[in-house]
Amino acid sequence: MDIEVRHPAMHEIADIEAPLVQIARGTTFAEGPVWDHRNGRLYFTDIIEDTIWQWTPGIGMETVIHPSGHADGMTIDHQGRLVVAGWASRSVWRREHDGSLLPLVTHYHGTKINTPNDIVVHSSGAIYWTDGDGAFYIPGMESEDLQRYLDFNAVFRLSPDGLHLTPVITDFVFPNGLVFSPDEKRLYVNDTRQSLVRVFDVDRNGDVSNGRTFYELQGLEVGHADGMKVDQRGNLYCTGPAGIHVISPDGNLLGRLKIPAECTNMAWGDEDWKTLFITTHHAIYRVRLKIPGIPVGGNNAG
Amino acid sequence: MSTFERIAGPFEGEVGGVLWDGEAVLFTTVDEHRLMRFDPASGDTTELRRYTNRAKGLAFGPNGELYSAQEGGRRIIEFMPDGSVTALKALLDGRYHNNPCDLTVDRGGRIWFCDPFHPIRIFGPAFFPPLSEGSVLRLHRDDRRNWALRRMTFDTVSPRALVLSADEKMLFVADGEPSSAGDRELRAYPIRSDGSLSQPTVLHCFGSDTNGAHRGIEGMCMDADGNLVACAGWKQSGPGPLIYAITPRGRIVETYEFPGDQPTRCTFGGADLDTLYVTTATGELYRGNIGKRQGLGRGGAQNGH
Amino acid sequence: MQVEIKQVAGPINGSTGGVVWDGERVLFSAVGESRILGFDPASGQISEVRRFTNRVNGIAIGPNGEFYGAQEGSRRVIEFVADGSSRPTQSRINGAFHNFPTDLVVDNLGRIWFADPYNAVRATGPQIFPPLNHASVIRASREKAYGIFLPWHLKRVTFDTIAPRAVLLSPDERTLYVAEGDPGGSDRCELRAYPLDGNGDAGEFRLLHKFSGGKRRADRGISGMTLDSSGNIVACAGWRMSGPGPLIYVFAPSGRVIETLELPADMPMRCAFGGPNVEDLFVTTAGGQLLRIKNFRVGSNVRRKSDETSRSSRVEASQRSA
Repeated sequence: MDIEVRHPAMHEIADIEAPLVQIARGTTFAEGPVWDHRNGRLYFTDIIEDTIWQWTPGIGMETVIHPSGHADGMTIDHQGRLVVAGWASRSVWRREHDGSLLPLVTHYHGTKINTPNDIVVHSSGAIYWTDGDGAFYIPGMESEDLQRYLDFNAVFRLSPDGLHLTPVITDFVFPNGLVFSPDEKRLYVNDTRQSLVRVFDVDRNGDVSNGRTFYELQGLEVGHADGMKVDQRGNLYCTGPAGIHVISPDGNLLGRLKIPAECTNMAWGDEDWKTLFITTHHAIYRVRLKIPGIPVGGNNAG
Repeated sequence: MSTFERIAGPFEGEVGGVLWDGEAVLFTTVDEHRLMRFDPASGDTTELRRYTNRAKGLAFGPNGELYSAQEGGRRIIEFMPDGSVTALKALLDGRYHNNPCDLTVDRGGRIWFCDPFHPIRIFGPAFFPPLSEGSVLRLHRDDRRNWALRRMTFDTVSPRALVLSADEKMLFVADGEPSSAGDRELRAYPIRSDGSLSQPTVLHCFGSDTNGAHRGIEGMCMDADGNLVACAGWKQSGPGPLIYAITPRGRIVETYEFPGDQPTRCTFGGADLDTLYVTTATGELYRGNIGKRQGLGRGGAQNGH
Repeated sequence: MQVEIKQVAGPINGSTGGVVWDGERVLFSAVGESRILGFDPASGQISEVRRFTNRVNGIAIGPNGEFYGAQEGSRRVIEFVADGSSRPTQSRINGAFHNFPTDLVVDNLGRIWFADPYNAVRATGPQIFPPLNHASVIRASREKAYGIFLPWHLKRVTFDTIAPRAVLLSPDERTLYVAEGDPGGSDRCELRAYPLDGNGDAGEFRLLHKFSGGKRRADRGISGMTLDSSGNIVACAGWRMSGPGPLIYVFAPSGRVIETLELPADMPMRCAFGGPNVEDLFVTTAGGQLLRIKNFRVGSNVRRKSDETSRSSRVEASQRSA
């Protein structure tokens, strides 16, 4: 894999000897990758083709849910259930163990929410997602109701008991990717249109404050700020021009992973959480990195 | 609103130029080779000249000379008071030009004329080939009082009609026949102080569709407000035969429906220059009013044109 | 009586676009602001009718009060439903995404005819769908089965356009008028009349009017049209920088220019008759204005839009326990 090094610490993160492997292709707009460690497979979405896929090593791609409401970002909660940022379906929903699909949130104070983009589950079980307006406008992913009602693009938090919905941040232009630091004391949220990452302090109750600019995306190559993840040392991985930007916890660009297509998101996986699965519009890639990522889905090893 | 009535014809072939001489209307029956006169007072039409060799456009000089664009003779001629005809002899760089069809005279006595190619063969052996382009040419007298010729446009295809603005700083040219590839255009050429033309603006276009090309402007005159009054169109395609009133900037103020087909030339006449006389390619002469428009009084014998 | 032209709204940020009378207000698009505004002639008030419209430009009302907009920013025609929501119609023609609908008209059967040119401004989001290899007028129609509407179906109407900008149907809906051409393009702008047969297929067009222009100083041509009560075409055209300037043209169905009206504002965009007696002509402009022209021409038959019942969809019980 081609790597751009801006700081020596980049060598502890990635190795040019590690091959960038294309494991799946043929999607129109792939997103939402998440590793299901209980079953050893990767889930991901094709937003425009309205499908949730799984990819299993040795088997390949299989359809899981279709139509999917043009689902976008996904994660797995501590009970191993798929939790979905429903994008054009204007909801956050979850696949129950029996296979049924349960909407968790559709309205805020009686008003339809916007179009959930990406999603994470806090260790407490609270669910955070970015509620931008992209699905109203982007061609090819029409929802039933295209009318936007809320005046803000929020980051929402749903309490662990599912009863309290709070817009914890309301001043984003286009909030997209979000991820907690390893100790969950910080929340990173990026803004695609403004091409930057902001960081917020998170208190014990899960409330968020003190937002400030953490990193502004560099480079003129094709690429935009979309999905984000962190590794166990707290380095932030964010899609951007040329591929994936790797940023140290103090906000310095360590280097960039050069990916030959426009990246939309990424997820850590495999048993040791050192494989980075990368979604681009039309294909999914995989590469082995050196520092393990944060596990997802409860019942973890590590 | 407009009202038109036919007052002369039908003649064989087309009726071309038309001119108000202060009391009566002069007009040419091109294919009949005659110069005619219509007297509004009596309503009679009389023949003034014959054997005109397809004289078409008509214009007065500063001293009342009657000039004509003679298509068949490939020259500008003058109808002399004694009944004879003189040719204004001038070659363009040693060559004969094409077939003049319309002309106008400026205050300095220079004769501007349209010189397109006409497919009807002239009399006699065709010794002199036509020029490759149809342009606007201009005759002026040199210091020996001989007529000399100068080419004015270098970007026309087949100019059909022309008229000068009241201040003679702009030349309006209608270019392009229905058989020309492309559109027919009405253009405005600014005239520089040295008498040359600068880049034209296209004011209006006539296109084509499955019914064929839309006939463009074939004749123009000026009204007292400085608008162009132009004859265009035919029944077989386009919006039909119309008289247009167009501002010098190209805005069509209004159009008047014309009851005949293929209006060709027009001029204002009558004591107040409020009657529009229109000839047609189908051999007729009409007169009518178009709203309250009146012709431009240029002074002298060019009144109404 | 003297023609009277007055600015009654704006200027808003950016251009105003589609305009239509709904029986009570003049609805007009604030394209760059992504809003639809309403002007009430009785009170002179401006209200906001819709927001977050992502550059809806042309707007039209269907025979049963349906309200549609051409959403340039998302390459689709959408329906603004009376309950405050919006829904898409259909963006794929023969499986491929169409271009950027900009203007539309709805016939008496409820079919939507829209102009689908290319657009220099990109649609929102990643550019996944390439444009078509043609820019035409397209017609959307849908059938009803057991009282329910089936999905919209798109059909290409013209096969000889490069840049259709505005569409209009004659009163008997047997003729489709199309304003074709880009002032920056190689061909001159034209106003065309396509005869429509019983199936709504178009025959060879008649050229009604051709706009002038050399390469550098092209006349802008027509950007919007409506009908007057006599079935004449009332069209917005022109700009100050070349040609005869910003004008309202009145064309007879033969193409004859009946008259033109000079406008005090540059680049008129779209126009519609409105007001209590449908006697005033409302015109939008690139400068973000809404003009009202009195004592010029009068319009006729009005379609009323279905009333909006609520601004946001209010439904109880939004959350469930985990």
